[in-house]
Amino acid sequence: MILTAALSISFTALTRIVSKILRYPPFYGDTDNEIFKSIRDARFDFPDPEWTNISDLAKDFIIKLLQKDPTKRMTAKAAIKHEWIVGKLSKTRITHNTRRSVNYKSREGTKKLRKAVVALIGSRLTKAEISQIGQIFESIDKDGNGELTLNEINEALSSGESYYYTI
Amino acid sequence: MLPGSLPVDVVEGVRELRTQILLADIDDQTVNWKGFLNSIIERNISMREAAVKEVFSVYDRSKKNVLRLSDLVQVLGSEKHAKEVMGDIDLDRDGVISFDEFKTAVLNSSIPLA
Repeated sequence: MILTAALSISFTALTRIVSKILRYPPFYGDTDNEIFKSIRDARFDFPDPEWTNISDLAKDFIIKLLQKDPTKRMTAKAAIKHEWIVGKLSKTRITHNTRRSVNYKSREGTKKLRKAVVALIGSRLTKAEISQIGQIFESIDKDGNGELTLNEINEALSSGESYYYTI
Repeated sequence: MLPGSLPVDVVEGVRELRTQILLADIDDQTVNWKGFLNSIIERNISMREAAVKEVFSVYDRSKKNVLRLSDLVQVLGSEKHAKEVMGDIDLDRDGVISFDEFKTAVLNSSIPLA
């Protein structure tokens, strides 16, 4: 059981990876909230035309990965032995792509730097700027408890907007 | 303030917060003042090149318009993190970070902060 958990990646991470690989996230909704709800419920499908040319093996791979219940989800070990992956591996000569690994590392390093920069900018904001942002915070924080909830944020953002959310 | 009347320059930051809440692993995730402030600043960096320039000058202790590894150690608190950042954003591999390299990394909005 511990081993299963160790080999399971978080559900959110999986959906991101799979969606990136396939360019189209399999989750849909007319509003952000609907899309997020389908992600959380693990409710997805493969509508045309985006998915027409995606092989059944690839879809099978996704279905087995996108199981909300971690015990039903394909483990990393099983995933690398899945037919879709094995088929891809046999056709592609895998070379160590230095450029790609640099890119990946660059995201981590850049994140650290940005955090430091944001913290410094935050510490150098003028009193007027802070109070301006503070007023916005208070206007969103309807019950004034110092914590913004999803409902409070939804209310603050204009309702009824509809745009496509890409993961 | 009426719903939907948020100032334009904070809407993106607030949307980003909503995304974070919705994708959070715990239910009923909330955002406190600090998290709110950081999100707003982060989303607005791109509109504030002057602020980025100012930060760069603060980090640039030798005043030679480049950041050296030792400057990054000062900023990030450890040599390990400094080397990670240097290896990643020193695109021309000359061993120092120019303002252009710094700006490119900091303004790259496709990388989420969280």
